Amino acid sequence: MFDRERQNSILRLMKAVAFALAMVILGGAGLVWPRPDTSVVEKRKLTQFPSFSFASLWDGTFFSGIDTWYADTYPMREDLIAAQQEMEEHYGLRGTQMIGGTVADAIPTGDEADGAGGDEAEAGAEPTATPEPTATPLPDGTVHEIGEFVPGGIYITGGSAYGGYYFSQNGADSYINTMNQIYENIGDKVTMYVMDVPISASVMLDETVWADMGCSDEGAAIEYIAGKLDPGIKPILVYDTLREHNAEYIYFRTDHHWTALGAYYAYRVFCGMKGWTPHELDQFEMKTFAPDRFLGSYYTTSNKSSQLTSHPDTVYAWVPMATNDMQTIMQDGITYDWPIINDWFEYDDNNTYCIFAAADQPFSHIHNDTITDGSAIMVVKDSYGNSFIPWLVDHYEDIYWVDYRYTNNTVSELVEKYGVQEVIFEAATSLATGGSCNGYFASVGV
Amino acid sequence: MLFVFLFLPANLLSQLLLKSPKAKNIAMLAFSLVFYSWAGPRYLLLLLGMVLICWVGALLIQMWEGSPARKICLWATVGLCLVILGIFKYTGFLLGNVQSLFGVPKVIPQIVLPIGISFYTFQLISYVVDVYRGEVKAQSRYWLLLLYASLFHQCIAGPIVRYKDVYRDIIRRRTKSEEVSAGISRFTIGLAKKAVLANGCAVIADQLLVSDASALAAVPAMGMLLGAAAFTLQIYLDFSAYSDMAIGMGLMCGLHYRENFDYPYMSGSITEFWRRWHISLSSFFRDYVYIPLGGSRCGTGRQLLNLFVVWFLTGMWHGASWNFILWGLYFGVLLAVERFVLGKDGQRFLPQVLRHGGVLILVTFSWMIFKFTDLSLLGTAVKGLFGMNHNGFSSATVSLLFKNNLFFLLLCCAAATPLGKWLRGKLRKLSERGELFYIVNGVWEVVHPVLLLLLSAMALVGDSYNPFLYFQF
Repeated sequence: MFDRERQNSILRLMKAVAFALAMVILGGAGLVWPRPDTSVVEKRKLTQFPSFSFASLWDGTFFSGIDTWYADTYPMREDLIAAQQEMEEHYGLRGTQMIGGTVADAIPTGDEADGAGGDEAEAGAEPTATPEPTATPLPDGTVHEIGEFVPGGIYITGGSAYGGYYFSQNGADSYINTMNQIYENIGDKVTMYVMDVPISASVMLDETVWADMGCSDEGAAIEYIAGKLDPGIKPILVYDTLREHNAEYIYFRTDHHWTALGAYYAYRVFCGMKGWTPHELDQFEMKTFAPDRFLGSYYTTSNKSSQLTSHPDTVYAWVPMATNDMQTIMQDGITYDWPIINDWFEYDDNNTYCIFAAADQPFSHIHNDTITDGSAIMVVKDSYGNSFIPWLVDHYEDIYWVDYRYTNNTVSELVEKYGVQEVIFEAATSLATGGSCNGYFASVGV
Repeated sequence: MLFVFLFLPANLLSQLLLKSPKAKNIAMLAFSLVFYSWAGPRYLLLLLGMVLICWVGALLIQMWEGSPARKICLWATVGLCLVILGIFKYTGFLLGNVQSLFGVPKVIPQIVLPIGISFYTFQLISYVVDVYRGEVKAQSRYWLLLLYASLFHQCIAGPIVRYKDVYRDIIRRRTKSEEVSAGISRFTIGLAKKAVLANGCAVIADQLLVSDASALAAVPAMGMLLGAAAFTLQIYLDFSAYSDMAIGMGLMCGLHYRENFDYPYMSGSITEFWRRWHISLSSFFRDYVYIPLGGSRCGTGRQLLNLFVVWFLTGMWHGASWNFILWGLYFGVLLAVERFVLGKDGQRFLPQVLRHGGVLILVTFSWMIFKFTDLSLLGTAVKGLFGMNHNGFSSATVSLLFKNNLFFLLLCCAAATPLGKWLRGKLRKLSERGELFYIVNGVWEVVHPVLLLLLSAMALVGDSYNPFLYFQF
């Protein structure tokens, strides 16, 4: 028979050794193992070791900087975060989850709308979005079930994530005023279009679902904006068309963007406004990228939601018929020859949306040799515009575009320099009415 | 992260390798001063200065035994400490109120609150008063008093340790293997309680008890209730976790700190709640304010006055804002009702379940007062609790948030009860009866600190949201 007291002593020693080893391993890992300097999942540079100064030492920011650096660049950080997320999946009944979002303002309607914002505009007095005639009713892909909402205002259900839209009266009015101001600057030189792209929840989900989540009616918001724009501005109203096609793969499940197919339906609306016959999909060569491997921004924002992990996206792209060549001045200031649909540079699977139109660059250009009528259009866009631009290629001799977030150019100078006749301002409605892009628009639109 | 996985192991290693108490104390002081300097060495000067005042003050009090000068010295020392605390903690608040009443001064100086000043000031005051009362001898070595005040285990987050409780440990350090073992468990439990449970509750509470007025007004009644419940759990788990860690670290180094929490949410009355919540603070006010004022051994009117003085000060101590004063007075009223209206018989009249439920409701409501330093936000939150913001009873958001975190919230509720302690006790008893249970208990004893450390590391990595609620005090 062992002496129980001796056994207890050995046990306590084992406990102390196990604890010390765990501390040494976890602490030593932070010192010895290589530290990451970027996060692929979060798409950001991690915190750098703070630079020393007596001032930062004195006020404590030097040491707090070390704390942040140590935690932010801890070895195996992403694996530990993934493990934490995996654990949190069991915090409750996660098949139905909602976190995040914000409080939306009520969208003015009728007399309210007349009194709000700028001057009354008769949106669509000229050509407006022409609903496409359909021989047979389209299947309704509206998702009715209550699902999961993750930080950042994303709703997840059935393996798909949907961004929620929250209307802001101030943001919307500021956006309208900015657009009207831009029109004052360039309206006499070009035809100006405004295309507000809805976010996926507004298009794909049952309205009672997003209303329950406190989201706004994005269709009504887009109509409100269109109604307040200068009558000379032509709104490209794509909301209803997208909603009619919501049974199709028009938004990614794991990313906040629309797919090239979603952009295609917007292109058809634009063709309707122009009086053109749009090209059919089967006229183009279709390419497939990252099949069942693309995990986009919602995957990141949801901290790798297991619902999304099991439903990755595929990126489909249709190559323009006339040319697949473009030039782009990238953020490094260097001009590159680049493919419109990038089938030669292999992006990380999580960045596959970058295959469209060289992604978000300050200035880009496509010249279409097959058209010689001098037609030129400029698109001022965010990332939703990337998958929209390829559809325009076969209709213009020249297409120019700037990403309003990265360019130093102004539309006025570009219009004059390149003899542009039409300008499309494209923005995700959530960004446009969120107020975050008005400064950009104001500076690019002068 | 840095503290847990580098600073603490280095500190524990120094305590293990150094043999003499003096060497251990010198190392501990060095670690404590580095720890305190982490937020900026300028605050260290304040700490050194206040310790110097109290060191000199206590020595003079002891030296002038029998002389009336010692009382003057007591008041001067304590007064100086309170003035310094007042300058750093309450100047902005007082001037802000004067400005709102009289329009002057035009500019209110922004004085940064040095971390832990409320805790170490009270520790030093208790030391000086205890020397005056003859309960303890004045410490002749400045650095040892500095060690007492700056001990990193509890310097910035409590508990408020009395000098008379630890000075023997400081001078004659004895580390027993049983205590090291208990300290390891206590520390890792506290760490996981903070990193996993309290921070998890904070995520829920912060989604509902928001600081934007329009967003707060949009939260329906059930949302407000869920937010209040999550915050109630958060504040207990957060604060008691720091006490657990302090007690655990102390045990690993041969220092014994008194318990600061005793499952307060199990209380059957508000009086009992305050015997179980932040015990070191309530006992401080009892011993150094309430009893010297006459305590309960005086007329009802005077007792009431004493009670409200104590609870006004308790509120003030928690923060320089009206909501904290309101919070303190709220408890003053509840305690007065319990003592003078209900009495012991009145309380016993109610069934145990109702008494527990009543205390939980009252305490949860108190945390709403505590949470919102902006009184207009507090008004919105309170109206929201009673469904008076005209935004419905509940919403899909709230019910989903609840379902999403159902098991987690149940775990947090269990962590606020003695269930874990009871289960551990059961396992230990069973382990005495048979070899199988002995092995099970042994494996658990060895494994659980490692497991909790890993869980905490997971939660801490990349978790930028890691506020400690009591830092402002």
